[in-house]
Amino acid sequence: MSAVVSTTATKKRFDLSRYPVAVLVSALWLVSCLSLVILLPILPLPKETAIDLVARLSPPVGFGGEWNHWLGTDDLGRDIFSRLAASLRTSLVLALGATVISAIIGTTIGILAAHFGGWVDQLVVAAVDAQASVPFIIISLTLTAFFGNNLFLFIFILGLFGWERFARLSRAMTMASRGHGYVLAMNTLGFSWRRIYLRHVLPNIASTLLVTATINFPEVILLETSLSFLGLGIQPPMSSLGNMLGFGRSYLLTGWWIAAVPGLAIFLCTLSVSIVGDWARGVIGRT
Amino acid sequence: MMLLSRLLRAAISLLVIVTLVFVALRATGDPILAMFNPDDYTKEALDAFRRQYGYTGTIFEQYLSYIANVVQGHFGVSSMSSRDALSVVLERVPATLQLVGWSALIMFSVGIPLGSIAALNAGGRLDRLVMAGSTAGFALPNFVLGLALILLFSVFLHWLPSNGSGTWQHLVMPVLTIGLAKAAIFTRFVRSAVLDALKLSCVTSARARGLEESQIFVRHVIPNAMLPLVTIAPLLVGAMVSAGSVVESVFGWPGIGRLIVDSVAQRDLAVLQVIIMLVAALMILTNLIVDLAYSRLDPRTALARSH
Repeated sequence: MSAVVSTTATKKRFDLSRYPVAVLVSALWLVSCLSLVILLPILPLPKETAIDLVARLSPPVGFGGEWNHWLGTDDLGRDIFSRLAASLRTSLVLALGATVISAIIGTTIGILAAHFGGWVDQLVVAAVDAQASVPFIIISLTLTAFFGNNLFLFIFILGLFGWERFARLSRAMTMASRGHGYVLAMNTLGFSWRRIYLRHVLPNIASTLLVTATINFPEVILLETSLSFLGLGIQPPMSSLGNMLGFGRSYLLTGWWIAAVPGLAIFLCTLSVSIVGDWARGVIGRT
Repeated sequence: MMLLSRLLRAAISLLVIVTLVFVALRATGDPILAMFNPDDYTKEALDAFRRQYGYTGTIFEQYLSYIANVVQGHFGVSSMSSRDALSVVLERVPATLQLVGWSALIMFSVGIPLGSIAALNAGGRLDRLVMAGSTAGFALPNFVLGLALILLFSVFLHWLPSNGSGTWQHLVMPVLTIGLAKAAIFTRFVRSAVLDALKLSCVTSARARGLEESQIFVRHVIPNAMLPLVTIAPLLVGAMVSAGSVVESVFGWPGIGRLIVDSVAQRDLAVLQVIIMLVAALMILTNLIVDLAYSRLDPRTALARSH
């Protein structure tokens, strides 16, 4: 409520108390994950593939481990924290890239459907309905089975996920904006549709698309980690959070931390993106 | 009339799926080599299969004979087990049905009370607690929850077996994993459905007539909240299928989900095409039933369509 009561004077200043605690903690977690990923090349960490046979299966600090491997080591003595950082990088880059791909594809298709209407529109709506009705993990598993397992196909599959959500939204919002005065005015003045859509319609609908991206992002992380966990996504020697967890699954009896660390990391990432996204949706919905 | 057009649409959807599978099979090469392992048969035998299954002649003739084979249940031989693909899949169905059935029970018995409590206390402390739990449950991937349960109940407490099937102890963890994850989503739907139902004028009028709150809830809120809940059933069936593929792999449960993952890993296309068609048919059937149930539950929608 304080946000509503406090008016003009404090409104412009950045005020921490205006944000819920859960949102702040989530944002902090996401920022630290991102900085870890960005700073990874210059941080003085052991290499994620470096084998330390003396310190095999060493538990994390607090469970009898040493500070030099503070999250413990796996069965080959590889540092869990270094592996976590490298996996986090793979997973985040893939999820971010896939979300950008599906946002671009989906938004383009949605705007085109709204612009042309008629059978183009019908076709797009049918395709959107079809993809939304089949569980995507079945589609992706099928594609993997038919066309073999490789990194290029995997990125394509992840990019294919969620385009229908962007298409549906951008189609509806473009249709609505075509009735607005500014679009009619620019069209009458003779501006090209390309310019109207790119420079005027897109900025107007961007905030909603951005919020959609925050829904899409955790789901892509879940899809990527699920597939990698099943051994059908990222393949060794590359590691993602999913295949790190899948690998740790075999060591539940001797080294539970090998699975617990990436599992917890996946949970915290998806949870914090959802919390920030929920909050952003509420803020945008109010204005 | 409406029933007929619905059935027709369902049939067309099925045909589209069969066609897509045929295209995918052709795109990867010789469908006979996908159905029969070339290492196990001589060239003459493969040619005989080709004639038997009708994969000679033009691509359109092949397409027609593919459909004929599908209708008769001839999907070829599983390359993993050298047995008929259809029976390999069908023998896994009971295990998955058992898992999904119990999970649905958990989902309903957790989601309906919690969602109703949250809606009746909208904005209150209980509401925020339930919604926080739902957000956390939604963000928790089922393989992480599954492994956490194994760690707790099998590794640390030694209460439950971590892998396999046969006894009720084997069922507990997979059912909890799927059931709780789906309950997290379902709670949200129940909450918003109940919230919408509470705003209806029949509830206000019941309150004005002086009915007890509990009676209003049972007689007016629940029947009206049921309506939107029916429409999300296909969504949840789909979610259960996809959750099943991961959870069954985690717990070594011998159902369809694990078979999908195994057949993808082994590239057993004969088995995979059966599963795709089974899942597609299931989704189409669920949508059909929901459409029909909806017009039965809410006669206005049936009227609106016939005009």
